[in-house]
Amino acid sequence: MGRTMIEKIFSRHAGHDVKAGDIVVAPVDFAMLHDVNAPAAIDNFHELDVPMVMPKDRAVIVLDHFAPSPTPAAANSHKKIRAFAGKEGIRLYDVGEGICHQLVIEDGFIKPGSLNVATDSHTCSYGALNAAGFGIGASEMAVVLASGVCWFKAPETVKVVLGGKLPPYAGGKDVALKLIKLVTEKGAIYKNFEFAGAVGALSVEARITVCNMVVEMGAKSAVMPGDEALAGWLEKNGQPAEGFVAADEDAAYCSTVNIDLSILQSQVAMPPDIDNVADVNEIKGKKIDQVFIGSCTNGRWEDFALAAQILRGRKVGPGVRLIVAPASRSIYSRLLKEGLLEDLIQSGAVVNPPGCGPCAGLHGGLIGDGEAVLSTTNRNMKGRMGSSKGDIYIASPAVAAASAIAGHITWPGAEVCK
Amino acid sequence: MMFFEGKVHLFGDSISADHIISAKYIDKVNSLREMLPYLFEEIQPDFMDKFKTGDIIVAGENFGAGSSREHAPLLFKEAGVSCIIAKSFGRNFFRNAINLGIPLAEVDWEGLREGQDLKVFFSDGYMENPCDGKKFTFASLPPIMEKILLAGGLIPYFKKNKTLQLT
Repeated sequence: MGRTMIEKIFSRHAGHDVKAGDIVVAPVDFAMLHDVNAPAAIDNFHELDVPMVMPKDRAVIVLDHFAPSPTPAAANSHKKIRAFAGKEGIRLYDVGEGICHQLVIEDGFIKPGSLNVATDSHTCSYGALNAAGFGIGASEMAVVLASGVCWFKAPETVKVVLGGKLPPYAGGKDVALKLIKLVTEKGAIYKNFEFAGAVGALSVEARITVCNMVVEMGAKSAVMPGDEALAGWLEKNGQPAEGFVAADEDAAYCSTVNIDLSILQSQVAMPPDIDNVADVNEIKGKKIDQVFIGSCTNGRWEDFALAAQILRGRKVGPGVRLIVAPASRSIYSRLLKEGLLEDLIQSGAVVNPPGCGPCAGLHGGLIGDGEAVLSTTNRNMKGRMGSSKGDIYIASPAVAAASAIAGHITWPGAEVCK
Repeated sequence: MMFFEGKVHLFGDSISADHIISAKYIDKVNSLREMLPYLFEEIQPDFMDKFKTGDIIVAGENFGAGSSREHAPLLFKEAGVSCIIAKSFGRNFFRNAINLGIPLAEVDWEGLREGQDLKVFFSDGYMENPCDGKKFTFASLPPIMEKILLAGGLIPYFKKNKTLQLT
């Protein structure tokens, strides 16, 4: 029997053949902590009272969730984290540098075929780079730092076969939401996703969006193929295009999902569940109070370039707040240099510093009672982005930009944007 | 021998880690105890008023879905939950709970009611509904997880063993 991509990554790291269901102890190539879970991980690491075994150049800490700190408690957490990173000599990304997953991808820490862990559930994003990324907790991270290894159960894999070309304004977010609608939010617990077929229709950035959201179906991870587009992206990013894993022809999958990209409309997840997904035209006209474009899901350059293209020369609708947050300083800087940030600001956008902010209801644009937000983020359960009496709609940057202009949910193809 | 007897607190499907405890309280409080009143705030705000140390959480599919924040299982430990039963768990929550030494089992249960008693013979892999005598069996944990759990969590386990052992 052949092996899936995730089985091959585990086999490579465990040093023996690994199939779904096997439990292995494997070395970790890279570990990342962020400011929500690092304080507890640091306490746990000190409790172990052993030296750090994880190589210092393969672990980083990112201050992104409370950045800059909105409360004294967050400021104290940051103080503790800075002191730890300084003492141990590991890289610290301080406030304003960006969102953890975006930074470690940009800075070349995630390599094809590699095995990565981080104290965040959206670590599955790294699958876009033909790599494995798993979220772990603060206790487990302490042991990774102290040992360089972690235990894993190799997951079963759901194969997703993409076909056709995406219509204008459809993108990674729409693929992700369509997949969640088909699989449901509890349809892939503990499982891995592997993508095949017309993956070339998606940019590497869009693939990050798709892999980012597999956790919303309960999945452990996702892996995209290492194709020419990824090889080109890696070279442009100053990384060697090597180490790829590919699935065997006779690899075993627990199920297969087909998605025809050519008929994919913009998708919107409606409150309060992420699998409560509709085509945008089914809920067109729903009034919104706020739009947020950003996050590890959709805060990349191409997301803002598309939003700026739609918003250029137009104004955000009366009574609507548009908040944008680039996912990293380099994205922020590029948008600034190319004049795209000016387009966004002139349309009425408020620009947040790079970070997580409103996505997890932390700061920088939360919603009030009875308000509705349309957001390019990843979760829409009650209270996630502020008041539990508010509603969260999740959609693409294209839908977000068009809806910000209209003041209600719509898409760029609709009359408001012509 | 792990045996638990307590009152059932029933929850439905897809109760996420965010439903258990919202991320927005992390930078508003200075201790877990201060976070406890917000446990299940969105779905069962009076939970802590009804809860007594030793009670058992019984949930549907995908309990603890999403976030890798340990605050969700840690709050159950802080509250004194004896064990957690669900039809299935979010994977981050499942790992975190074991790593914190909180017993939990995947059980395809039915017929349990809010507030009733439940007996969980954890080491023997079954639980019993005292109201009708019905037994539900569940699979034992893989050896590595069982050892971590019995050690009281991953940190005490690693302190003792200095390594991760599969068997």
